[in-house]
Amino acid sequence: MFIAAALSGILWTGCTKNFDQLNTDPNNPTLDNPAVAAGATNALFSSAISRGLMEAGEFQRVQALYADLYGQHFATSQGYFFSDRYQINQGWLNFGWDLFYPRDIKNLVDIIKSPNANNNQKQIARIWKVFLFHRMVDFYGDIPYFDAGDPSKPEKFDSQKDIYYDMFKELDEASKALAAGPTYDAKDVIYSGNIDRWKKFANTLRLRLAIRISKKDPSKAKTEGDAAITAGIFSSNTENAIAKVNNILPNAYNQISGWNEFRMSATSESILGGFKDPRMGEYFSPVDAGGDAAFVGKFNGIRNGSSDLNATAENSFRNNSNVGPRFTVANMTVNPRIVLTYAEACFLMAEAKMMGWSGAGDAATWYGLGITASMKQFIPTVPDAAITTYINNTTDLPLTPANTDRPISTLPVKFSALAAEQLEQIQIQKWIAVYPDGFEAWANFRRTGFPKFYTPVTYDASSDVPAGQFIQRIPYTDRMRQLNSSGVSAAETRMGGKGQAVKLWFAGGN
Amino acid sequence: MKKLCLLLFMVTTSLSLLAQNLTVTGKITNGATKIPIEGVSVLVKGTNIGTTTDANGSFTISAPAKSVLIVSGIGYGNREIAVDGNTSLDITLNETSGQLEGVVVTALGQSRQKKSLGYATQQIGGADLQVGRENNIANSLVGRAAGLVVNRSSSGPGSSTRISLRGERSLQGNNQPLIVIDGVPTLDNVPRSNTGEFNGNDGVDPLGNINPDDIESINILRGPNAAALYGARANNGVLVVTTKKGRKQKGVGITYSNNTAWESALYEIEMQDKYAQGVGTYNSADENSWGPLITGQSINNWNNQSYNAAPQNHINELLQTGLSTNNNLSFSAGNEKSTVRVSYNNLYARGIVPNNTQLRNSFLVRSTSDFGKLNIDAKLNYINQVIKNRPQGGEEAQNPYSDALRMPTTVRNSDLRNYVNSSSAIPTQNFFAPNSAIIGNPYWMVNKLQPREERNRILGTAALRYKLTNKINVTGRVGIDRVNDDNNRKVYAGTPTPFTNNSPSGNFSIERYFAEEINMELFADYTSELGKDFKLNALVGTAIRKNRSEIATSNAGGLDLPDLFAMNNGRAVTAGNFLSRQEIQSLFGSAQLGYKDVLFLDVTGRNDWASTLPAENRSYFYPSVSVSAIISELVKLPDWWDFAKIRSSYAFVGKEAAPFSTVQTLQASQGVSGTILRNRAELVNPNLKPEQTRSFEIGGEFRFLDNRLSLDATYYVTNSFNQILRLDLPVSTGFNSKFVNAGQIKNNGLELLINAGIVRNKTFRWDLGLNFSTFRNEVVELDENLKTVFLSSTRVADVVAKEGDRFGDMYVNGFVRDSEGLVQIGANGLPTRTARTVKMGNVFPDWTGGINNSFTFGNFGLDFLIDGRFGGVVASHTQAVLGGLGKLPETLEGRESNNYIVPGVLAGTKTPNNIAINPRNYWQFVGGRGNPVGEQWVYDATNIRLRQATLNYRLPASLFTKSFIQSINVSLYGRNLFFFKNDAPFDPEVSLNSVLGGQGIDFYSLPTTRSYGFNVNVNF
Repeated sequence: MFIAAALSGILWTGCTKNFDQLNTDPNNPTLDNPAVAAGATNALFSSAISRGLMEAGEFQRVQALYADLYGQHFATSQGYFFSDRYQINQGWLNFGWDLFYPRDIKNLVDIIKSPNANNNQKQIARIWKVFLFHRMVDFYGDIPYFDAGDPSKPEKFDSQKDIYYDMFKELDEASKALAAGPTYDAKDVIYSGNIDRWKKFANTLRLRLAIRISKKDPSKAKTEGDAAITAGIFSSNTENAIAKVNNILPNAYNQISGWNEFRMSATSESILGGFKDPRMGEYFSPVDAGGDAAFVGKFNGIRNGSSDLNATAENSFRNNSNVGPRFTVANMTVNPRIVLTYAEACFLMAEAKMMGWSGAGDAATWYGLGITASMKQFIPTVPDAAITTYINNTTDLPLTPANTDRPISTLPVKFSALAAEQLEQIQIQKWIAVYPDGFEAWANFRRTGFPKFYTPVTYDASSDVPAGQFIQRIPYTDRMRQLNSSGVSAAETRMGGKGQAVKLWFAGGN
Repeated sequence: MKKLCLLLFMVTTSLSLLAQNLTVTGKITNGATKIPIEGVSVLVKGTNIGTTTDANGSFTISAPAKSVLIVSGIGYGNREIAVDGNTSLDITLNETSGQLEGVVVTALGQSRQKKSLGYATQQIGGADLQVGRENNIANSLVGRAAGLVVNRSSSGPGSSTRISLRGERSLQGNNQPLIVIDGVPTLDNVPRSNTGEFNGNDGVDPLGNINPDDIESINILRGPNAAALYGARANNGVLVVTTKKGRKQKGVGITYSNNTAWESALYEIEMQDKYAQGVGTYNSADENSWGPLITGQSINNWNNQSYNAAPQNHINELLQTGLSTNNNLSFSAGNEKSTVRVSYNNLYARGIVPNNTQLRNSFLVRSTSDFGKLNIDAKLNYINQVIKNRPQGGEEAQNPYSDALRMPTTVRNSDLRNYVNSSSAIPTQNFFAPNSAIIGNPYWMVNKLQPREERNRILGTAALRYKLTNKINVTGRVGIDRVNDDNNRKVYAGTPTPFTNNSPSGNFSIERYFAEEINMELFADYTSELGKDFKLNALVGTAIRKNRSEIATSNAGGLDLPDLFAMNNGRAVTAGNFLSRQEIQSLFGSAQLGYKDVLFLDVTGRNDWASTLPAENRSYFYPSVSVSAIISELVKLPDWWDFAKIRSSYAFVGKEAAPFSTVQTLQASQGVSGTILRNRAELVNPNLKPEQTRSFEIGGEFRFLDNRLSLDATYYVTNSFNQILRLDLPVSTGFNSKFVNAGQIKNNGLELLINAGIVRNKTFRWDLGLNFSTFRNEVVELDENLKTVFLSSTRVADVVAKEGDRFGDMYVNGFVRDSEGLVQIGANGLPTRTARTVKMGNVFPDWTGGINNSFTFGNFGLDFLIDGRFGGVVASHTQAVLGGLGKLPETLEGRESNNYIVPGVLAGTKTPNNIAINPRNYWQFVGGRGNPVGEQWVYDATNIRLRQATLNYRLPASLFTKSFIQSINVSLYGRNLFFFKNDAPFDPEVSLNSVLGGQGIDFYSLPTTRSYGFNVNVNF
């Protein structure tokens, strides 16, 4: 027997020659497989867009149950979810975190260093990487950034300032390096590889980030903002970044709106209802026949952080407004996903002008352009006269919904002469325009304090946010800590704490 | 197909051929009672030629005229009988207590005298599996076999079980024993388990397909010693299943048996029936049961129909009495040279959830032929099984049981039973939340979600043995095990759109699963006397194992036209296919040296070449050595001490990696504009090495007092090294895990079997069997970068393997306590939740045991089996949700007055808490579906139950002397009858699913069932 075992080396090597091939999965290619290498870059990028904007399960856990609530376009309508009261469910966060890097960032990192990707593909991947990253930085604070996607390096949490500075550099370099030549095909489901559009996207994003840090780091903000404006930002709705969807990867927001887990917020009710905003009927639907008679046909919103959800008629999901027709389940395969818009660019410009940054026009002009662009984006058929009336309205003011004791603002739409009021008005209109993007609405609120959101009715016992204040960031999960306890601790020390009340860098923190 | 043809050829030819050995027929009876004994094995000494007796105690064997037969039966001593040219033998056997000295079937189908084995085995006779039967054999083994733990999933008839022997040792690999049928390994006993927190269910496991009526015996090899001959999968022990063969007899022997059983839920979760639907006020559209006190007030349902509020029981109304009927017909025939047995089994079962059925048809043909020098044994087993409407698990509305559990008590059953609301063009659920993913009308779910699973399975074996010389036999064997599953799921129009890919018209999905294992072996065995005192038994061989599995799925992505269940009618058809394949080539050998039949030394060795490992680590060798000594033959023992044997063994086992663990690939799927790719999240390792297990065991077998008392004891230690683990990585590296070789898991344990013949006389006997097993798993070492591996992580608890601790410890969110352990209550009257750092215990039992009492009185027999699992914890998400919804009785405290005082002290003081709060605030804090405080919902898993009681009656033979009937046996039985002890509000043996990570977690698991039935066995 032992002789046999010794002999085996000779006898067996011949039979195991096909073992390497046998142990390679024929259904899933390797990156260097020449048969797929040519098309792989397009396919990797396509995944990073469609999935980077999150599929339903991730969208629900990360955006709809956190950012969208803290951006107060929406409020939770089911009593079994507590995140609207600032309870952190770590399972939801881990779910998204585990997809963000291995699925989305890794794809982009691979494209950027791939010998099979052309120059434009690499530059666009850099731009999109900044877009995905800035949402996560503004969500958690310090996160692993510089070495992301490199398994040979231990995980390191980078400071927000360093990340912001690098994002500016990336947008600058990548947009400048874009040049006529081969680029993405239709698998780029935003611009099909259009170089000019991606340049403007990069510049507009750069302006968003510059405005974001304008309070914390004014000189850097001005440098970056001026550069972005000079290089050219969006100039019309036709340039909006809109990601196509289909029946396989539908609009996740539409998809989950049928789950009855969220409804219009009291904040939306106050602002859109008070202004008699034409966009109300686009964003939200009146209470349908499933509601109680007292509510049917009305636009009704739930105040964020309510604890009596469905216990009272006022706070039942049946008696509050679900999303507007374009955002319902029925339209999920045709309603594209809004990524970055000209309307927002206008409001960024309005604020830039208030700070004396470069570019044409004044704040009032850009304010009006922003409102017009947003109206036309959501209601292409809206008469210009209606927009003018809206812009000049001095009488309709935000209202005071049930369960609240004040309107969101006491200012009308008509642009004020006072700088302090102008700033609030710009932020209110920008908040309306960025709907339904909770990431941006929440980040902008943390920077400016506008619109003046309602505090949660109830703060969960596990929350460390003092009464009367708002959540500032999402804490790291126990699992991130388990896998890299020193990295997480170092980040928390740098940020000055580990809770939800710790301000992010752009909002005045460390 | 070629292989099948070959098998059929062998089955048919082996019937017709003749050869020239002496044919010995005989009858074996009980020396005391003169009753014929069934199932006694008869073995030609020094060979592997053997047979067993039929129901009349008769046997036929082909043996050389000068040979010696070894006759042994379970519970009897063994005798050696010289043939001496006789063709007819009448043999009597005397009872011993227990199962000590029989001939057992071990690795590669080799029959061995049990006393020569250096490792622990336990044989279970087929009768134990057939009387008081379970349709899945695994469930019948519970309580009978020391060290064997079975956990069942809860997906209705034909759902899988999880078996482990000697505890768990692999962190992420398979921990279930290898199933070997008639010498041939079968597909891993890994069920297709998909039950998760939200949905899914558990499919059937390979062992569950096998018809218990075809089983002659199961021999349990607990340790890894058989691995040299079966390969690495035997690391977790082996269940060696032997199916029945035909017997030589005049004419055709016919056996018919019927088994009919009824089953019902073993327990009902206790609910409060005092408070109505709603929160504070009555609300017909709310899942909560925090509404007003039920006083018979008039309330409206969601259709605004008014009625008087009254509590209703939704579980009793939903669950039904299950039924299973088994009809088994077998024919056996044989002449001097050949035997054949054909059996047909039909099983129909109806689950406790409405519309859930299982239909299984199984055919088995086994034929043996003896041509002197050439022996052929061929078998073909074909199984067809259809399972309809297997209930969904998890918490989504699709699970009818979870819907019924959570249903507020004031919801009328009559409203639910009227489950269709026809008011819209496409009828939807008649329910308060007709499009909810969370809760639904259970009757819609059982009627309008219709999964169907069909399995076709073929198990075929063909073995040829050729006697080269008197001392050398050469055996070739081919075994094939092939499963084809064809599953589909119809979801009818009007079902909540989260379950229809958002289509109002329903959805349709198809899954085809194929798995195949082919084993080919060629080996030679050599037997020779070496001088007067020594005997050598050696074996050398080679084997190839090929595995392949493939899944093809398609999903309509929502139907366009309602209820037209065709892919062509899909709105967004997606499809995928997944493949796994591997091959292992092996050389193996073993040698046994016996001295005067009292001392035995065994050595084995095996070298494997595994396709799943990188070329440089592909080849690995593993040896074993064992010794056994019959002390009672070596030294003079006191008169009352009849037999003593000591055995010990040491074994290494190497194990391959999972397929595709060494090459980094991209994963393709369909996107918005054609195919999209993503990186595989696991970082593969091109340098993987085989896993290694080292195992030591020592044991003894003893018999006393005229063999009336016997004891079998084993102590073992196993160490598993270099496990191939998927180690979690910080995801910012671009990967969520990497494959590494790491870790050391140490198991040690003790197993005891005691049998006692307490009363033995002509009319009455009382036999007592006890088994006991305890084991301890320790995670000695993991990886320098990672000290914890998560076996599972659900909302209620984590089950982990943490370095330095036991394997399977449970961690939960607990209550913040002070240094004295007092729960700290905040100013809001509530405790505070800790991070998931509170250890509640281990999900595996500290020890398990069973007591079997068997009484025989004339033709009557009465058996009852009590078994227990001691120690261990189980966490219940079900209870957490029901608590949060105000359904549990404990939520009643303080409701009326709205002043509930949470037990604890005011934070930072020793003052007992005196802050009265609404009890709802507390129960929603600790319970609910989102983020429960697990500490509140963990229970001691200790339980003792009456596992089985059987009353057996053999009709007097005098009744049939003139008829063609030879014997009739009738038995009545009950299984899983009641608990003697159980502190959990459910059966702690339930689990989320039948994989490792689901153990110790109750997640809307269907209740286990109590069954009653009868069994009739007629021999013609």
